[in-house]
Amino acid sequence: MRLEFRYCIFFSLVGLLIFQSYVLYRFDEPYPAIVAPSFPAGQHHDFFIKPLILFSFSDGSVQALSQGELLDQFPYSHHGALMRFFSPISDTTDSTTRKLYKVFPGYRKGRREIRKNLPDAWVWFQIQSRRLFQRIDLTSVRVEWQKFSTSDHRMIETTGVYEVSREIAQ
Amino acid sequence: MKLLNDFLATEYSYTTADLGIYRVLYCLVVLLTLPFATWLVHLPPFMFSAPLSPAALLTEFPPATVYFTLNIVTAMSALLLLFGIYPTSASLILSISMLSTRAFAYSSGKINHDILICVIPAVLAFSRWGEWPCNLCQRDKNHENRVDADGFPVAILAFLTAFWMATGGWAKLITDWGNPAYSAIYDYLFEIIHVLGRSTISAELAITFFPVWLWEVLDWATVLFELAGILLVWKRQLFRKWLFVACFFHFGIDLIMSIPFYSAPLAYGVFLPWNRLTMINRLLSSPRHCTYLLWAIIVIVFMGSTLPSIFIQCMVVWTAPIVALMFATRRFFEPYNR
Repeated sequence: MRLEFRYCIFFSLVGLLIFQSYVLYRFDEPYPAIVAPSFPAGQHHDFFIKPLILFSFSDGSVQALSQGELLDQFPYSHHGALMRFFSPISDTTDSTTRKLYKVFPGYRKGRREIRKNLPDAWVWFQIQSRRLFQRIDLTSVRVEWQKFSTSDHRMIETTGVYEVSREIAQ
Repeated sequence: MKLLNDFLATEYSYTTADLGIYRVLYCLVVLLTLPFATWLVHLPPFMFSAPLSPAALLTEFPPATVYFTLNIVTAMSALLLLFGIYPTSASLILSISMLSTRAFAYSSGKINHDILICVIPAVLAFSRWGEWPCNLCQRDKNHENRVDADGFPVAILAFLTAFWMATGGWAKLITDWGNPAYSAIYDYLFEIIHVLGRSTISAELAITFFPVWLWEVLDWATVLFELAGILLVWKRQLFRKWLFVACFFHFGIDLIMSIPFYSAPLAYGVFLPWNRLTMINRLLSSPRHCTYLLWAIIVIVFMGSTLPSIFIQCMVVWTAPIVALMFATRRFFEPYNR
């Protein structure tokens, strides 16, 4: 292979990598892309937030689960991303306005349509109720986003709530 | 300019046997980790949240038959490549099928950064890595260590590997990893243990006994190490030493943070002179040794196919120190005859 041709391929590749970096920093991480895990910092606090999932049944009983227990069918590396579908409802506004959404209709669809997806989420929680507790009398599911102190692991407050029930789903 | 000329022409020259042996190992790992992402069928439609990818052109998960077909295509192309049948086409199809499967697997929003193992076949498709061992009978035994594979594809892969790692280092550098007021690694480990609920003995020991200054040193060392690869990749000798450290880096991450990043040590294997290290060409010259090797492969495949995919991935990460030591062997640092 001639050296000029090698240069041509190499610099085309460099151009592609620069373009991918532009997309990454201007919009969001694309796939496929030559990108390593970033683990960005800048979120250092003296507290941490984790979800508690509460299944309520028709007899008044409540079963509590951690995110790992709820999502045990999926690889643990995906648990954090999957729990974002149950972000506090007050924090979310379903949005379909960006131009990007018109070109890529599936882009972050589930995360930007949390309210719209409540009926589908209810169906899924009913399936999980049967799978995890063998019960079909689920009345509501509440995901409490709880804030804990890093020093003594004491719960400080509930920062937000995602809730879905039979009535909301209907 | 001479540096770039050498890099693109001869710096990463290997023998077809080196790349061919790696091809066999690579295909075995790919086959043993199939089927990929079987959990996808359990994802409900409202969890479709694709990143900027071809999958985002859709609005919901494709039917299960699509995953099944992609896994079958991956398996068939990996088998063809394993046996060196239509290696160039099989390599390209393997890359495309692995990328397509992952595009759907990551359409719930989380991208696992295992892109390197997907691009390896596409890049090495043009390196003659599929010719070994079929070309053994055509070769003069006195010249078995003579370079006969074009180094350009391997150089491109080296550059992509270094760039891949540098993106991680750059993202850390611009997001406060250098702040001496706190340690980003400590924060992530704390989150892994207390939020995700994943804890190991080594993680508990680290978070309990590591002094504050050590966490800060680890932050800086990680950033500098990840960025260093792009400066060292132009010289193979330097890049090998960087890969030696990188193997321990990934092993340490799995040990303490429980993140088995198996794609990285697997990708680093491209840069090992497998023929020199294993002497497998000499083994293959005797029919009796060939039989032993065949049985060894059958046993590995049987054992691997009975183990879950995550176990195979962990096994690859836990071989990282062995791979690192292979990088450090004197035999490896001797230059090839060009």
